[in-house]
Amino acid sequence: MRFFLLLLLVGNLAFAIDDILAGLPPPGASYLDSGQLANLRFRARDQAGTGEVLPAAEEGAPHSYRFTVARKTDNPWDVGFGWTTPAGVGPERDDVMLVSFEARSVGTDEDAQGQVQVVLRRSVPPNQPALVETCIFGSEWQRFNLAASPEADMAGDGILLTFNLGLAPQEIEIRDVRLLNFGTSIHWAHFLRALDASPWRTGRRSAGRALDPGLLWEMLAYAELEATPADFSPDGAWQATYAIFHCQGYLLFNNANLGLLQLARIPQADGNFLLQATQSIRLAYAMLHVTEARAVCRADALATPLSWSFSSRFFCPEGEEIPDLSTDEEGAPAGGAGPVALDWGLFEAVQRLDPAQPLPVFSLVEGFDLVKPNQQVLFRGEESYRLGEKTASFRRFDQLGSGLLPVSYWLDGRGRLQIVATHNRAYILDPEAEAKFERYSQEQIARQRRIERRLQEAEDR
Amino acid sequence: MHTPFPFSAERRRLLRLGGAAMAGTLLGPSAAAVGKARPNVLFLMTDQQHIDTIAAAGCGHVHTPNMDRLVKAGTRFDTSYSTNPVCSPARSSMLTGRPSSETGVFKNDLPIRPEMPNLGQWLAQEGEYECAYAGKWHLPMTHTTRIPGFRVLNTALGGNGYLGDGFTSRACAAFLRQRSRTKPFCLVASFLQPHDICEWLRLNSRRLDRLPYPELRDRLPPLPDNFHFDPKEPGLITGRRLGNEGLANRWSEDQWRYYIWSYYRHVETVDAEIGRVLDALEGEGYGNETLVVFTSDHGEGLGHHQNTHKNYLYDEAVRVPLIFSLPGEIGANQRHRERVVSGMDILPTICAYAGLAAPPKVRGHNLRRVLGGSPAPGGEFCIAEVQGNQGRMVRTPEFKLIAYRDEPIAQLFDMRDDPGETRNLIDEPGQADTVRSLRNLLGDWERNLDAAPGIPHREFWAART
Repeated sequence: MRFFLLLLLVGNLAFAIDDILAGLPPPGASYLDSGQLANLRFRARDQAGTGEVLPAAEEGAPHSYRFTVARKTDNPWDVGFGWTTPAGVGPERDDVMLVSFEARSVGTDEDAQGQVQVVLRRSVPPNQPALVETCIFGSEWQRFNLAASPEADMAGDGILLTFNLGLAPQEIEIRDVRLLNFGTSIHWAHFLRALDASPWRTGRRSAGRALDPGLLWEMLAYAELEATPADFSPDGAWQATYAIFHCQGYLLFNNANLGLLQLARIPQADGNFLLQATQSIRLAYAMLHVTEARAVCRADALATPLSWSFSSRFFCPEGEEIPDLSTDEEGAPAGGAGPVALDWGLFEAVQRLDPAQPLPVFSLVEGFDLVKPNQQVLFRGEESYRLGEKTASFRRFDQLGSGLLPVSYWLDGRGRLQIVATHNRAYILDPEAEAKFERYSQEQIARQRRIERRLQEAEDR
Repeated sequence: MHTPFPFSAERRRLLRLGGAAMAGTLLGPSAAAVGKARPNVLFLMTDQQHIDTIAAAGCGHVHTPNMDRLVKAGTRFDTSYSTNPVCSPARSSMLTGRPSSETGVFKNDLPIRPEMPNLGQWLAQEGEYECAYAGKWHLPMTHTTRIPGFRVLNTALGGNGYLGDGFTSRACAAFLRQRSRTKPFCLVASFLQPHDICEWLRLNSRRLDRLPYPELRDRLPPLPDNFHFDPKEPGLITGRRLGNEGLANRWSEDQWRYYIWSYYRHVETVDAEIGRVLDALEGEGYGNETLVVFTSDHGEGLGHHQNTHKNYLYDEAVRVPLIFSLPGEIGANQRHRERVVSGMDILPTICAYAGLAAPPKVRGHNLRRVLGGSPAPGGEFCIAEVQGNQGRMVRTPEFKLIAYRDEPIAQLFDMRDDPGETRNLIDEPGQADTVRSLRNLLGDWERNLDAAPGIPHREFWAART
């Protein structure tokens, strides 16, 4: 009966991977399949482990391997197994790859877990990794589908796929290891979606180039940009809500829409305008920071601020304000300060800028109290970006100066500011901005509750 | 004089204060509680800051008016080293006065041994200081809401100093403006910048055909003098370098220089945040009674030896800024060129100014006498550890020895003649005595360590002579 159930399970799992493969374009190359497992190279430093081939459950079924690790090793690489491809066989930069295998723990303890670190990298120095992932599993067979995409050409020297086992003393079985290369026939984000692979769990891949509207779209920072209302006028009254996106330089790992910037321009009778801004950022551990500001600005090229007030507030995850960390300030430029602009004021100003009219060098007042001198705003012309099937065109300005990384502003044909990017963050006029921020906030709050519960339980123990 | 604000600002913060805080503000600081005998402590920490990145200390490629304030108000050490040039280990040493082999934090994401008091626990317990912490922690969590001995002011943003450091500086400034002043404070402002250069490298790794901003062509800093490297260095280091963004992507000289230019902008961002905290400190009248300590956990490759990042033992990664200031007690605009100091010296020095004995078994040196202009013992050498306890550096005023486990090649540099570490003298017959002497220093040091349980390769290093 047990054997029958096992066969049933194997059949289902095999179907599952085949099902996934059926939804993908055919792989351009298969570097490893279960038939090649005979070439396995097992290693164990200081006799820290052993490995053996098990007979196949039935003809044509994949071989299994059983590994026993006697102790946790200083380096997980001290015990493990792997394959190398010959020189000339391997992926090129940006190819999309799948590492798939099944694993289970066969320790005597029913709750025993197994863990392996899967590494795919160039086989010779520099050993750039395309994948480093730790997989944890229980006593039932579990399939792992890991996505990888090398950031360097690896075909010339061949690649190494290795399973490092020295993470813990354990007895495990692994089978049906596959290593497939889909080339560039599928977009990385679509590939992860097809595998149902969380970017948090697999495929850390550097973006490799600076944020722009095209890359942000590839990073799934936004799907669509907000349509500009027919009556939009840069020097009239308007409101805009930008999603604040930040990344750590990976295409799909650790990226988040973690904040909102809401701006409103309200023309005044004297020709000046009032800029109202509210920025909400969800910090680590679900704390919230909110800045609220009002600035009276001249309707000139820099949106020169005449006076402003702002408040800074920190809130606990549950919403309670931390009063002694709050600040309320009012300010105004001093006489003789020279040309001055506010950072959020420039979001307004670039929408009215005449590209033919060069701006003076100015001082930026960032966050209403940090002065950053020697700023320039430069017009770059029109740019087009591919957003999947569509092409979007923008006018671009760049800001260069002391105390910040270059800032790029992209405006649509109507002069409405759509995207601002500087280094690892972007402000995106995303119709989903508020919903995304709410979702992110709820996830962070729930995560923080779990952490607090675990910390409390640990303290109680 | 730092850059004047081109605007006036008025704070309405009193509206935010509760009754107790208001009473404290009206009464002013208690002379018995705070003063030169028990100064406040402001510990400003940056992340991944190369030592040569401060304008007033000689860097001509940055605008750092606020770090310049620190240089001009204080005493700095040129031969200042991280105990272990990666985040968690270096921080564990700064906050305990112990090497990372002893704190147990031999690599990132590990906690300090629970029996070992950190700076906040010690000052709060022994000196009744009000201890607060803002920003990056990384012992083990990068950011956290709970740190033993400290009130955690805010958590900033994980992995984003460019945006997140502003919240750290705002929280610190508000704390300084609204605290009750009933006892001295120890405030740690732990900024993440210029660490975001790691994100920058991921976002800008691909080879560029041309500069993305043509205006920069005439503004890019030059390559460092030691841009080239000795191909006969330890293989561990060569392997790391070959995989870095610049070499793996065959960057042009301009692209290397663009990376260096961008790094300086990262430094400028944290300089501004430091300014926000210093303005609050001075604006609240704490300036004359506060010991300010400024340092970084480790450096950054910045193209030296064609390196990026950290976690190796060339100076670009392991040497860090270190400045102390306390008006009237510590010399202004002073510089120690050759005294060898390390991150372990910070805690015993703070304790000395606070009138406290350092915690038991602290291995760092109390620099108070040195900072007061008097000769003091110590400063002959320091040791740094690296890469999960696989490597060691011994640094004296004249020489540096680098050795790695399982590496046949060691390195010896004459740091007076060759500060860029370009000529390995390890096999020079005339240097045999120097090498032996440095190995003996290392051996004696290792044998006396109270290593934490589970430290890898412990026996290997203890057996070195």
